[in-house]
Amino acid sequence: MARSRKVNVIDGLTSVQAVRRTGRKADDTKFRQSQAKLPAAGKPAGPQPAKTTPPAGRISQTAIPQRNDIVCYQCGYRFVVAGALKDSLCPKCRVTLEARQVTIETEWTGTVRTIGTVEVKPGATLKQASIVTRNMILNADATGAHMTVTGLLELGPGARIDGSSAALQDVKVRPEADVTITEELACRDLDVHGKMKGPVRVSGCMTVRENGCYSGTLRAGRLVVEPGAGLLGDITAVPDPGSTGQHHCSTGAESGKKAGSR
Amino acid sequence: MESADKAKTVIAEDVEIMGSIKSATPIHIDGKLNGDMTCTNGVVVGQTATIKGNLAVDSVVVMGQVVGNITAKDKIDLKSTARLTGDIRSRRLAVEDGVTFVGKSEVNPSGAAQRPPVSGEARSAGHEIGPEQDTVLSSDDDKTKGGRFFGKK
Repeated sequence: MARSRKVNVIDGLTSVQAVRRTGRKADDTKFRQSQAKLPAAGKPAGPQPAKTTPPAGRISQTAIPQRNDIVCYQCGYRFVVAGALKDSLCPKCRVTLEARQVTIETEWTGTVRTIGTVEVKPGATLKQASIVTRNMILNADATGAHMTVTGLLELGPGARIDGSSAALQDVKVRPEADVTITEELACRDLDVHGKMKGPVRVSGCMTVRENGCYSGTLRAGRLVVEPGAGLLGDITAVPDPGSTGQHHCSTGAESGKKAGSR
Repeated sequence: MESADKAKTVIAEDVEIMGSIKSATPIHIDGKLNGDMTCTNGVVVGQTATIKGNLAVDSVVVMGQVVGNITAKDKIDLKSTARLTGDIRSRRLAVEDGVTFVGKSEVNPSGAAQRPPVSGEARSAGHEIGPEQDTVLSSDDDKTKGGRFFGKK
């Protein structure tokens, strides 16, 4: 029977099929090379040193780009941008969202709006300042400021925050930090690596790490305390039965992975 | 973690005790206890256990329900299925995700100033038992707490 298809160009699949055909007998069984080899003339018959075989080729891994959760500071629309964080356009209100990295080192009373990171250095003061940002690193007194952090707020040494004038998402207390909260702080997840004092209301998960210590009035949906952590005060941790299995508190290993991916 | 194999005293799921327990050996409880427990060793409160009373122990692993205060010399370990309504006081604490805990906590491994015991635990803290003493299942409080408990049923 004549073949209906003529192969002029060997593509990848055809070449692979050809190679496989050459290694097959007529009865559709594969050829196998003999394991027994005669010793070569002039060489000792003793044991030969093992040859180093080159490593088998493998498919290289594909890097998954970083995903940035962006909240438009104009209209509040939430969307995701993959890759490096740059100035973006809000898909809803078409406002250009600036991805500036702002560092405040002295007294600041103005307004900062960015989808980047704002870092407040020690010694800076935020009196009547208004800050809307995605991530924030706070190392100073910010009791007089209005803050909206849509991503992660990291509290370092010397951080003071007024919970009533802050709209927060996730909060992390750094290991070297000793944070005092004057008014009740409401946030989604709270990760305490250092020391923290004050009333806190956590809608998600409150985690006190190994060398961390929390003291105050805590209302949390979920509570995780690692061995070696301190917990002092009035605690109410009642998990929401509806959220079981949907959101898990991250362990130390998981948080390390997250930090590494950033 | 103390297991039922290690524990010399195992209180099964279908056992209900009205009164206090004093022991120097590890206890694993899966049943119901309506009274205080004093143990100079490890205690495991199983997933099916219900304790209404104060616990004064060396270390405790809670997987069930406790309504009362827990005072541990060494460690309190609250597993994900634990439901605790009461105050805790210990040197070390571990809490898993999913725990229900309502009460006051006094856990400070760094060794800051310790406050006096929380209210309600003075009675159980007064029990002193020697290391050679075996498990004692007493019914001192039957007339008070136990009677009321049965009366409810």
